[in-house]
Amino acid sequence: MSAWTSRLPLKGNKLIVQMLLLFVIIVLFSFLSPYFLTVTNIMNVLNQMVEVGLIAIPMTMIIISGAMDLSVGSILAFSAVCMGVAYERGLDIWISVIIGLLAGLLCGAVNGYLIARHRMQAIVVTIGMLVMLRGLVYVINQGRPISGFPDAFYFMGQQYVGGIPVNAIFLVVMFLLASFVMKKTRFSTYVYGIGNNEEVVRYSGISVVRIRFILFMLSGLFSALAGIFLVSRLASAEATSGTNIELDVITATLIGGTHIFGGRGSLSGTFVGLLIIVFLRNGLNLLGVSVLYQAVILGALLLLAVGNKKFNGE
Amino acid sequence: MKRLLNVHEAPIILFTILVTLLFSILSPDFMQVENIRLILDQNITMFIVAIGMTMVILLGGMDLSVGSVLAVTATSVGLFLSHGIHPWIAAAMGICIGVLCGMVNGYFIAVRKIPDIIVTLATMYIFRGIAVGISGGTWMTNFPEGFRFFGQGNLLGISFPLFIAVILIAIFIYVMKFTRVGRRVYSIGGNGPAAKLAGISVVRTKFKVYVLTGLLVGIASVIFAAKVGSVQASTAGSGLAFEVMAAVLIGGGSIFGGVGTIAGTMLGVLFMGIVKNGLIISKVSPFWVDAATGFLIILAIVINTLQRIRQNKGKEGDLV
Amino acid sequence: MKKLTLTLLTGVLALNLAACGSTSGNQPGNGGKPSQGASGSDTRTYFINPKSIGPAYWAAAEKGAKKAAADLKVEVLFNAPTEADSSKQINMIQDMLTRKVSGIGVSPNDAKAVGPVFKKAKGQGVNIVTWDSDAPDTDRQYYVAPATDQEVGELLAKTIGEEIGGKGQVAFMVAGLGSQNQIAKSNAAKAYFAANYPDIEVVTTVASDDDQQKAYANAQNLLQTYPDLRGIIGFAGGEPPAAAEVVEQAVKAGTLEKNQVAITGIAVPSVVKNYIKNGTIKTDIIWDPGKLAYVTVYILDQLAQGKEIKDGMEIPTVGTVKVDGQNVFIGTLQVTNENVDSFDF
Repeated sequence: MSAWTSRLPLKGNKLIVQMLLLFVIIVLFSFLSPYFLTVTNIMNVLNQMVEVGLIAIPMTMIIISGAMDLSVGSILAFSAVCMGVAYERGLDIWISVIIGLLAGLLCGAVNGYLIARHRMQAIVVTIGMLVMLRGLVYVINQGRPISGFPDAFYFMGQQYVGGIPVNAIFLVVMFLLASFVMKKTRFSTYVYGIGNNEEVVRYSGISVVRIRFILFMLSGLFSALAGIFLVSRLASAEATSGTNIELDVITATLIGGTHIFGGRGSLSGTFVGLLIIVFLRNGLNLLGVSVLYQAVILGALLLLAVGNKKFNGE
Repeated sequence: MKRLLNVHEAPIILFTILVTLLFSILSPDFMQVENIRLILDQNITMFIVAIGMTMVILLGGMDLSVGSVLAVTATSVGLFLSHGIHPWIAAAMGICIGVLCGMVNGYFIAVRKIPDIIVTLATMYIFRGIAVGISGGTWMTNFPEGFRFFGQGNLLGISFPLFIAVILIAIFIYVMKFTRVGRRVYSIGGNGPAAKLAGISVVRTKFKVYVLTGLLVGIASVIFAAKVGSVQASTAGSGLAFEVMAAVLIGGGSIFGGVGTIAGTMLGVLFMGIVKNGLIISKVSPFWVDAATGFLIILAIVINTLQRIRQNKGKEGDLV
Repeated sequence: MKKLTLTLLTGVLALNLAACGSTSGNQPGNGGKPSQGASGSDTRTYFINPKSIGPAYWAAAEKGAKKAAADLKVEVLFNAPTEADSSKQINMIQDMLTRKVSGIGVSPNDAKAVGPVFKKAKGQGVNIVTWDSDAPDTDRQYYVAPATDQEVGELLAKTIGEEIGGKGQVAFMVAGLGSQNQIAKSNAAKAYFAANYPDIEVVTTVASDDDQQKAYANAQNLLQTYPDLRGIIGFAGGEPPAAAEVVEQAVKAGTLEKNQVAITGIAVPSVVKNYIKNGTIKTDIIWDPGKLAYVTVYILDQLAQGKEIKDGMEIPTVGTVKVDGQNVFIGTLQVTNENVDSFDF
């Protein structure tokens, strides 16, 4: 497909374009709303972007490897509710957190097992998991929201250190860490390699199965992390949380320049993409623009930003 | 026997029969003519949209916007009707809007060569926004009696929507199997560069497929509106894209294109319909319905994959 | 270079869209004149936040809120996410807090999750009123509702109990299995049956997740599964019309006798008008969502001006309201064949 033809070394260049777009958006809204460029608002936005951001990390890697994970929202809810139920049963909050993370990891492992080991199509498997896990959430707690967690736990989602939200700091650290992994380690070479040409990677004697498996495990883990941060921020674990979050995550990743057919993309791009959509949404909210138009604007942006870049790359 | 097992759709046929048997044992109401008619009736929209989605997936693409196109079309039909336009004309205009949406998708995907998932993700947002925007937030409802015919009428002894669906399925099975357009879709999905070298206009074929998909979604949405009797622009067809995609892939399609048949997809839709209906008929706790549905989807895929492994045994290399 | 142009182009387009979005969205002209908002001039701005945008119910509420804005000469922003999602809703409330609105009226998707953001609002001196759905044990000052969930649930149970003569199978249709107000109402209805109509059996509860087609399929499956079904209660705006549509079709097809299945529920009159006229739905319970929103804006405005909220107070265009502690009740309406044409929402 034409996707393979444009493998020019445009990565750095692309990032500049995205930064410029982000800059344009920020300047634009600063003019339009006096509340936009204030410290409280920016901290606010940072606080809100964490869940999508955390999931975007493994999603970027998975898309680079040429697959996709649509079950992240359900994994998020599943882990959050598992954690909530564990806490309700009288377990220590941090042990409950670990149970939540393990639940996410388990979901990721199931995805990974079916997709990597048995070479099933990622999209269908994760759609199946999306439906099933969301259902299991209702089975576990009959759809009641769970709340009443101790204050120490809310530290993660509601507190500020040096004026910056704790969860945003965590997100940035995670991004830096993952960025390092994706730039400097062999693991990243394999991920890009699988996305570009799986056969070659396999013939080089590298276990594609294992790499894929790890990627989906990561996705499960980060979705669970996002779930826990969400509970900490909202003080409540709900059955409906994370519905449709996969669309936000994928949109951020794509605006960030990751190629949908795999092989190309970067975490720094995703981070900028993430900032673009959260600032856009925040700015439009501040202006009181109805969500209907927000959806249209987001769609148009996606077409223009991503579409044109692709068009340009040819 | 062996030949039968090698039919591409064999596993899903077997699995569907198995699930049907299971539900028949669980509930005596399941295997009733009345209920079978109900299952078919409930899934007409899915059947029709799935035809288009099969072609899109055969091309190696996917269309996330079908739900939003459905919402736009159904809402505009509702608007036309509320302005007193004749039901048949309103329906025709609605279908035209579906085609228009398909042309937008097709233009960006085929002509501008933007990856389909990006285009349809974007148009999914855009069409949904437009749908809610033109509806003004209110429901489209209280349709005139004449319009209801599209969803509830009878023709030659069977229900009108089912009649339409059967005709469409027959036409498209024929098109995909025996016409040049159909074979082109397969060849582009199977090996794009080769198809191009063979002189097939990839752009034109792709564009056609998206327009046809828009047309089918348009027809489906008229039936949807007439049948359900009310349209809520913000939620109509939400989740439709994923559900239909799952049906295509359960029916033996491959997300990488080139593999799959309309007949298989129809089985996939039927399978999903049977599962959804059967779980309620056999009085499974409502909390378990979604979990069980997801589980059965995954199981269906596992079985599909096993079949592919069996078929590919002995062939060189691994399978995808 | 080409990219640069494209980026700029994108930016300009976003600007255009944003601009036309805010004008056609009928929003205040704040966009053009930032100085007006910054100086915090004397117009008071309230943010009215429903559960989601799209359903007819909230569209009717928006009209009421806008009317209140015109009557009281205040600014009202009416916005919510397109899906009833608690975290998106809270993000939006946070955004509005940065905008320094004078008061916020929220219909929370999750009563507990809004706790932290309400606390933050209180810290900033922003008044919070919940409407339609409550968030007890938070920093909200008042709750505006037609009646308690318990009362509504009991009223629905009573209606259907009387219609079917106090015995038989009844099924519940809800919007979401996890939604608090749906659980509260359906539990109240169940309790009412247990206490007053021991011969009524609640066979199942099906959820549509706010999807019309799913509600429709649910109703079809109910009729198929429970041939002896006598009644259906729809606890949210989308359920009664779906149930009525299915029952009407079944009657027409001859698989169901007329009046075999009684339907009641909560639904906007304009949506169920035809079903009520056909007699498929005898009684529908509703309240005017527009008035609900009107009262919310009114109460917020009273709070902002430091005025007192007292029982039996007269609210223009709405009438007297009942104030019980921190709850403000405007009362429910029963829609029947006689009065269905008198509603304008």
